[in-house]
Amino acid sequence: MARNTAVVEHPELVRCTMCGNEFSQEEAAIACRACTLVGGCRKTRCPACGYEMPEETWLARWIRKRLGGRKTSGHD
Amino acid sequence: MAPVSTRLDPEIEDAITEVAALLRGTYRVSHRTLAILLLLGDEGVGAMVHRAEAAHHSAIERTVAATRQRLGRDIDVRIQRSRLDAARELAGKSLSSNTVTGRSVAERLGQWCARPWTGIPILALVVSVGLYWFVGVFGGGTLVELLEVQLFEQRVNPLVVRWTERYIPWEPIVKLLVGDYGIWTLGITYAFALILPLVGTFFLAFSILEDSGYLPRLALLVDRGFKRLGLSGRAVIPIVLGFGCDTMATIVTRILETKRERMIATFLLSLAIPCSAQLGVMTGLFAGKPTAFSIWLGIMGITFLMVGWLAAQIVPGEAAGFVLELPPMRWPTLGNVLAKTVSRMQWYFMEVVPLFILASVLLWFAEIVGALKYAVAATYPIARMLGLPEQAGEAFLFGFFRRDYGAAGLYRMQENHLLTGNQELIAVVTLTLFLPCIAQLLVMRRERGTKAALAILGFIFPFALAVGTLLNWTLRWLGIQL
Repeated sequence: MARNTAVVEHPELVRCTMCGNEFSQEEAAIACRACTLVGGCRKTRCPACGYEMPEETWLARWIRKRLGGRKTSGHD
Repeated sequence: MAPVSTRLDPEIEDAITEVAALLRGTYRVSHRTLAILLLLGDEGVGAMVHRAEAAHHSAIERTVAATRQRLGRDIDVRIQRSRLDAARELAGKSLSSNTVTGRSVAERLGQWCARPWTGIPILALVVSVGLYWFVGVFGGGTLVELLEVQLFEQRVNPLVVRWTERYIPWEPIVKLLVGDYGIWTLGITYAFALILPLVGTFFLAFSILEDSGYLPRLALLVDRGFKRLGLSGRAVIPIVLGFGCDTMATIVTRILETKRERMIATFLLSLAIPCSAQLGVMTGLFAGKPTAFSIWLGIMGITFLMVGWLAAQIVPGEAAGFVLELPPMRWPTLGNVLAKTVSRMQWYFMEVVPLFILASVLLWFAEIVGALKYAVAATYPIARMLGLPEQAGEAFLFGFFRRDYGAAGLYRMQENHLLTGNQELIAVVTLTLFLPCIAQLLVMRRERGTKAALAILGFIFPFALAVGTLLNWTLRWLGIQL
């Protein structure tokens, strides 16, 4: 089985872990516009399917960069 | 290369032509694209066309509504299928591969996960290994024993209590910090010694599933069953998110197409979906008791299905169609899994620790002014009705702040051997069916309105108590001792 490390052509994009859609933070911000919490929840919402992922924290980013892996949420 | 046809099936093409012919305005996209989006029920495009076609928007809306009625709810599936066929045709003409064709292990596994005959046993395996063994037995048994008993109770807490009593001369402040409901002895100990290992293992298991691509296949697996509950497979997204946090998931119900779906999903989230912390603590309570765990799982499953089915009968309307792109099934990456787990844990603790401390302060204040004993006494009849010791009423009172806080109270009772196996099951079932926390009630009111929120609340509390009482009677009547 393939490892979940697809070629990163646009590292700034976030990949949704539910539907595989790749989107920018700007698109995610549009998806959050209608929400009551608008950005106060520390989560990233996929504009295609609505699935929410926790925003990547500094510690998570540090781990991912050392162990490898594809960005699936949050801001850099 | 020959051009690839992106024509849809003839009936839909006729409908698109009919709607596109009615559009007069100037848009940045073609009339055909707009017609497709209108037929798919895109609300944003609908509003834009409404503004741009001031003179004859009603004719357009009438035609779109009549066409959608005529073509039924399969319209989005048919459009999506035509697009997929075109994409496959294009890929077939433009790509070549040297590798031997045929389905890979990942593709086959992906299909097994989504098909009922193979998908349901795989789901049972995921629940038993991921939830019961990993979260319950390992997280709730081994890790809690290490952290709560060996580290906090035997080493850290006696030290903190001794220092606090030595250096702080005011009795009420000592009680606030290290008393029965103290910030350290209750709030911090619950959060770090009890809930940390449980939600940590739960989030780790959840991140593995998420990174492997299993969740969208689960959505596909349950789609047919969900239709009977008036929901589409898309509702799996808020339901799955509910296992993380029901409050957030209630907001996510906005992605559901119809008001009916949003209402049913909100109701089911409030009633039958335990959040991560609660799920962790409850699974921990059942560590080493697979029968009790199975009964609890069965009761929650039956409640979900029965109440969902009833709600679908009461709330009128049709279930919406569901289209979800399936990303490939992949081997999870350690970096991704750990990063997601850590992000979720940090997010959870940022939210939960202040609330636990606040709950400790409120309980301390209520104890100081003498109101706590009356509040706790008011819960005694509920505990007796459920066949539980009176102290369990205290856990229910804690559960009013957050269900996981209450569940942690039950965990403490179990550790002190104050609950029999039957009582544990009854208490956990009743607490799971309660509303998760005050935050969810507020979000529910905001999203669904005061009337709906009160109606849901008015159903949940008596229902939870009725199920608990009925379970108590049934276990006694059958002479079952867990």
